[in-house]
This record gives sequence, structure tokens and C-alpha cells, in this order.
Amino acid sequence: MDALAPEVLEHILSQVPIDSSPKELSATLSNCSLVSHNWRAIAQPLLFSEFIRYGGHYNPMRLYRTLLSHPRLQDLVKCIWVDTAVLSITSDSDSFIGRLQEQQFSRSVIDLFHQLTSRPRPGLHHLIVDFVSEELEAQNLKIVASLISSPNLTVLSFTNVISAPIVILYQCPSIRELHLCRCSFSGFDRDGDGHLVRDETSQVDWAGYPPPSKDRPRLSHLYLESTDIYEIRFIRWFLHLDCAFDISGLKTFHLLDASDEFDSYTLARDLVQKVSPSLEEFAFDPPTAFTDRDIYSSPEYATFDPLPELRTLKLSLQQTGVSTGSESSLWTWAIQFMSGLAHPERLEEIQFVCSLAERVRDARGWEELDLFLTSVITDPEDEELSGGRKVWNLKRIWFGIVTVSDETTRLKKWESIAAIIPSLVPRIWGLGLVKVSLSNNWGHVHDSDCWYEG
Amino acid sequence: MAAPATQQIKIRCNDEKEFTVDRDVLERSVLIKNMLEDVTEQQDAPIPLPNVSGPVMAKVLEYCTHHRGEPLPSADTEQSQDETRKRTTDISEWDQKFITVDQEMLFEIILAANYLDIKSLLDVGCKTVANMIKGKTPEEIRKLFNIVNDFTPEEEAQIKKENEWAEDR
Repeated sequence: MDALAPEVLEHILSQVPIDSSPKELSATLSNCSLVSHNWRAIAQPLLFSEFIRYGGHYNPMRLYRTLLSHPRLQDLVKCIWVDTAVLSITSDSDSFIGRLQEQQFSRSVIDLFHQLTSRPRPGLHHLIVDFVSEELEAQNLKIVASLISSPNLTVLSFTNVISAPIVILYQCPSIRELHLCRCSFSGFDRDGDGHLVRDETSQVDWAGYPPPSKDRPRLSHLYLESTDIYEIRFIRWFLHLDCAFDISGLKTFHLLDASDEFDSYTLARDLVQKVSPSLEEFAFDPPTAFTDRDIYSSPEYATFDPLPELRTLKLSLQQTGVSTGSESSLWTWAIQFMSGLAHPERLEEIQFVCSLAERVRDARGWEELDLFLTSVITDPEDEELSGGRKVWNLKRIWFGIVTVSDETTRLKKWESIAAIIPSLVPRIWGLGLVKVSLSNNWGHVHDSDCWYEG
Repeated sequence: MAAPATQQIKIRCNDEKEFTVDRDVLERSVLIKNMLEDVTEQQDAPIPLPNVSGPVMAKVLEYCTHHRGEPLPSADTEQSQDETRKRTTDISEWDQKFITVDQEMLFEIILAANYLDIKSLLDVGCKTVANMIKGKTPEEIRKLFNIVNDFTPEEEAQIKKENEWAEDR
């Protein structure tokens, strides 16, 4: 066992399950680093690289002091999580969380954290930032501004960053993967089409930040989530040459929970067109189409070019189809859907799916199509959907497990779904794998869930 | 109309044991897939696999046959970091039964999966070993895998000090 190749041992140790307790993971990795020199060489970097992200599950004072007194160990830290919910000292000292935070994150602990994060870190690969309030954002932005320019930082994840200057995104030279959720940035023209306030980046007020290098980092994966109408214009910034990132080689693009209606369709189309030769995975929520315009038959829809490298298409239709007022009604609709008893309310969304699939049909060898169909209702008997369709050429269809009481019920539901699906996506053909989730509950996928194999 | 015959490929293990296997089954191995793609003409000579024994290859083929036709993991090495770091104990029912073997065979399968580049099988093997390690003391791990403690007492004390933060909460 000690003679295992280091990469195999690393693979094994990186699979040690977290389960419900990150503490157990840290204890296991700590024990592994005490087994032998070979094991220490693998386990200790994992211990330090992983644990910094699970704030609150360790003794922060000891960790930060250990790191500050051992620069060698600092270099093992691959991921830092700047989570102001954890780093802040709550004024509510009566609550459990308040007491926990008071105990674990006293002012001196936060000072130690700031010392550790006050400069770029060569070992840092992954930075996760979650600000819970504008005040905490202002207090901690300095940390982010330091860490973001770490030379080997490849993954950046921002959540609730709402008032940082846009120039901060120009400081990360090696980013390949960018996640932005509920973010907005100051410094570009919100009323315009996504340009910065000044047209030329050389004229931007960099406010103390160094100007960007000419070589923009080339993104491979871009995840944009929960944008509102203003941020739609921010998203449009990605199309401009003055954007901090070059997205021309994008492989993964997710545009989820964009609340704007028509604009997000055209924006998605524009972005997809820009990256179409390289795009392998595209996930998109068609927003709720409560509009008088017949957007589904609009030419905007008909301009998706073939996506030759596309392997995975994920379309969420959860917000469409029916007006759902509560969790229980969602569940009711899902049950009705599964039972094949429900009736169509808005078939246009399905047609949109078909339209998009038709447009990208030249992609061969697709591996996955995810349709999130929580509240989409259709009718297997509907002639418009079922008449004169092509025979499928799917290799396999998977269904995620829905929580049900017993195996028999589950299998019956699969049968009901199976009766509906062919009429639902009649023109999507040539796919390798179709996944259908009925309540965002994917769970495990076993052979017994595989309904169709052709 | 009969389906077109699947191409049969011969392989030879390090104990001279030979197998004749459908090409699509063998192509679960990226190593063999690449070998086959490099060969332009059909060859009758078996592909030599010097790092795998017959009994281990038989198990590997059992796995590949069961999973034939499933999409292979993307060759893209620039996977999402979240994906690469994802820790999960998920092992399907069939895979769990398949991997219920003695410890020696388990490690042989892991080594073969690594050599043959069958990622899904490597994952199953590694997850199984990871589950065995979870919650064990250093001494228990050494005993389980027959590892010699090569630390001096001073080194051991130093590591314990460095890791103290993870133990004391």
C-alpha cells in the first residue's frame, strides 16, 4: 500500500467522504498525515488546502497562528473562503451563532486572518467570497483585492458582491473559472449596453488598482446566476472587448435565474453565438414569459447557430408552465405530471426547447440533456405534440430519483413519465443521455431508473 | 437485419493469459482506446498489457462489460474545480457488489484501473479504500495496509503540532 503511486494515493485521500461532518474529514486527513512520510506528503497538503474553506469547523486561532509561524504550510492553502457571515462578529451575542462566532472569531482571530490574507498568495487556486451586507463588503473588500491578484488563482466565486468597483475584476491574471451570483459592480454604464463608464479601459479611473495587462485571462467556465435587469447590462459587458475576460474559448456557460424577460433571451443568444465554436455545456433558465410579445416565434429564437462541440444542454423550466403559489402546489403539479394526469398550460416553452435543440442538432455525440421540469405540465394525448414525430435515436434516458415511499410507486411513476417524454421532446434526437429531474432532487441514479435504452 | 458484428480485440496479460473482447468494451480503457486508434491496420497480434495479470483483467473486463455503452468522462482535463474536489460516497449497487473483493484484489484493481486509465473504475476503487480509512487512527491505518511507521518521534510530534488546529475545537 505504501508503494502506491502518489497520484493514486492522492486520489484515494481526496475521496475521503465529508459526510455530514467536515470535522471528521480533518481528523481523518490529520491521522493520514501521521501514517508515514509518503502519506504525509499527500495528506497534509489536502488537510490545509481543503479546510480553510470550511470556516467554523476548526480552531481558527490555532490554524491561523500555525500558518503564520510556518510559511511552508501557508503555501499549502489552495482555497480561501472569505465568508463574512463567519468572519463577522455579530452583535446578537445571545444567539447560538452569535456565541459561536464570538468564541471562534474574536477580533484577534479576524486580525490574524487579515494578516494571512493581506497579500497575493502564490499557492492560492480558489477564492470564494460571500458578503452578507454592504457594510461587511466595504470592510472586507481589501482582503479580496489582495487575494484576487494571486498569480495562480484560477477559480473565483463571488456571491452577494454588490458594490465593488468593476476594476477589481481586472486584477486576476489567471482566472479560468468565474462564478458570479447576485453580484453587481460599480464603474460601468448601467443605462447603456455594458460598456465601462469610459469607452477606453486606459481612461478608467483605476482608483489605486494597477491597470490590467493587455493579455486578458481566457475563461473556460462562466457561471452567472440571479441577475436582475440592471445586471443584464453588466452581463452584456462580457461581450465587449473592454471586458476583463476573453470568453471566446468558453466551454461551459450557465445563465440562470436572470429575471429579465426578453433581454435575457437575446443576451443568451449573443453570448452563445460569441462562444459557439468551443461551447460544450450550456445551461439556461428560459425566464417566465409573462409578456404580450410572442417571443417564442420571434426571429431572436431562430438565430442560434449550430454548436458543434455542445455535449450538455441544461434547460430549467421550473418557473414556466403554470402559476405556482407555494411549495405544496409545486409538489401537486409535479405529482400530476408524474401521473400523466395534468394538462398543458403553456406548450410554448416546450416548443422553445425543441426549437433550440433543432438549431443545435448538428452537434453529434451529445452526452447529456437535463430538463428540469418541476412544474411544466403537458399532455401525452395532445395531438400537436405527438403527431408525426421522428423516432427517437436516444441511447439512454436517465431519471433522477424522486422521493417516494416505495419502489413500486417509483417504478409506476417512471412508466408514467416515460409515456409523456417522447411527446415532450420529439425532435431532440442524436442525444447520448437525457436526464429528467422532477423536483430538483437528483439523488442517486441506479440501473433501475433507466427507463429507455436504445 | 442483423446488427453489424462488433470488432473483436485480443489482449495478453503479464501471465500470458489472453482474452478476446469486443472493441467497445475494451475502449472503456483510455489507454487501450488510444492504442487502437494509433493502429491503422487490423492486427491479429494480441495487445500486450504487461502491468495486469489475468485474474485482475478478468475483473476489469467484468466491470467494463457491465458499463459498456455509457458515456466516457470528458477528456477535458480542465474540469470545474468544484467537480474535481467533490467528495462523495456514491457507489452504485452493482459497483458495490463488484468491488466487494479481498484487499489484495482491491488494490490490484485500483492499480490496473490507473494503468489502463479507466477513471470510473479508479473512482470506485478509491472511494472504497477511502471509506475504509475514514475515522481510523494512524496506527490502525498502518495495520490495515501493512505500512511501516518511518517517522522519528520528533517528526511525529512536529506534525501533531502542525495539525493541532484540526483536532482541538
